[in-house]
Amino acid sequence: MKYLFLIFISFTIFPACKPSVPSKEDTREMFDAGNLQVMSSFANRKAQTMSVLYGNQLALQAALSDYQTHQPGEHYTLVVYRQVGNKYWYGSYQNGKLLSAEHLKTISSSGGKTLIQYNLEKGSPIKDKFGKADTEQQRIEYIFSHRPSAFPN
Amino acid sequence: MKQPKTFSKKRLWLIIPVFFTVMIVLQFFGTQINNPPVSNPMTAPEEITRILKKSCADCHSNETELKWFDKIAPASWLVAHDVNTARSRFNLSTWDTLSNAAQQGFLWEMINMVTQERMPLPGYLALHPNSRMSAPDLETLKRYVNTLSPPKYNDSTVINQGDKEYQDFRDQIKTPVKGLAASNGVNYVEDFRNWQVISTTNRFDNHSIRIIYANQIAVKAIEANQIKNFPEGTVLVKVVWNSIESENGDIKPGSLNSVQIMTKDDNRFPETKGWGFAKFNGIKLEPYGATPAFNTTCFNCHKVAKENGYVFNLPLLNKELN
Repeated sequence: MKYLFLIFISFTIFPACKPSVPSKEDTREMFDAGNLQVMSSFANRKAQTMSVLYGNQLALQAALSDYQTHQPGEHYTLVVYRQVGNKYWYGSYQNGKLLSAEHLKTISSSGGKTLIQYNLEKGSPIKDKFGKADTEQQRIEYIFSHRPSAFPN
Repeated sequence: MKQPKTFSKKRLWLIIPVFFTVMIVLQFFGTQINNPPVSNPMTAPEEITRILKKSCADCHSNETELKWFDKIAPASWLVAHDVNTARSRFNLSTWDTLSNAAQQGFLWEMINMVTQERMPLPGYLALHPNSRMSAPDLETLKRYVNTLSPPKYNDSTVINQGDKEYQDFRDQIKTPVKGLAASNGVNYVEDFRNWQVISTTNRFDNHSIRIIYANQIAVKAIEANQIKNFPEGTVLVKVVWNSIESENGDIKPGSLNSVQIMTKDDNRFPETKGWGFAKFNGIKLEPYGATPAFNTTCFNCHKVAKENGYVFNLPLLNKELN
């Protein structure tokens, strides 16, 4: 009887020692951009979107050339969120739900040219007011329209 | 034969006169609240000054009106402490000595303190219920403060300085950061660009756009939703750019405003719940704050985010996303 009691107690104590994992609804998610760094961030208050453009070093090089010169191995990721008000500070907006994650990668073709591959990883880019979505080419041009932000170091 | 007095009645005959004697003696101690002259009152529309007089001026001005119960020690000591603290934070009677930027900053802070129900102080509000700021009054204040800081579309100052900084960035001209630290000892973080981005924000009160990074200690706490008390060693870095605003709604980064840091160290910063702050201004990263006292000023604003571990911009909970 004594041993049964000890076994019973251990089933209650040991689970309590494990750190609690929040439920899905109480989880805060962050976009994992891997080894890409932030190149720029921007928003549109009328569309209520906030965006972060990531890139690897080759992507940054291309961006600094105003996207005129490309080489294989560039990787860009554009993440777009819904813009929401910050409940702790009237005067500020922050990123809410993730709306889309898009990737551009450059590869070399058999003819020696550099090709740009587009991939929509998550969600979908927002449509215009007529409900029309951009083509892949339009998305590429849109991503390449953003100048990198100046960082101090 | 007379019955002897009971033990409790004897005590009562002793306690009551002692109590009143102590209370009378207490009135001779403590700080008096004086009302210095109203030298530079706020210049604003009458409806704004009316709202602030009703809800804020008793503590945040030189026109404190004490009720009879405010004057009795030891309550009067608490009242004096609150009034002196409030006046040191901002004073409506010397308001016009502040720069426009400082005035706007305090107005936005007032709005947020009231919205978060941190002001008027709950204890004050309980005894002075008429000081509560009504919802219409709060909306009036919000409309007013927005008129003080309207969007300036395609601001050439921000654009030109941003272009210059971009050229330097392209030419790999960097600001030296080795050993860079604020006066409270919080160091600049050299490698934050390799960290996880936890949020992006843009503000219409001070026209800026931001990226917030977190180190692994902070990321683990956020993933576990253990954010009410971030662990020791948490570091957050916020990069702030002055924003270029367009009429079509676009918000883009212009010149660098600052790099701001929050670091958690309960031993070094016990008065601010363990949070040490730093701000490095402009592309030259000039440390803000001549003395370490600025740390408390930073924390005073962050108090409104107490429920978020004093951090304004965490990723939202899944249940908050729509």
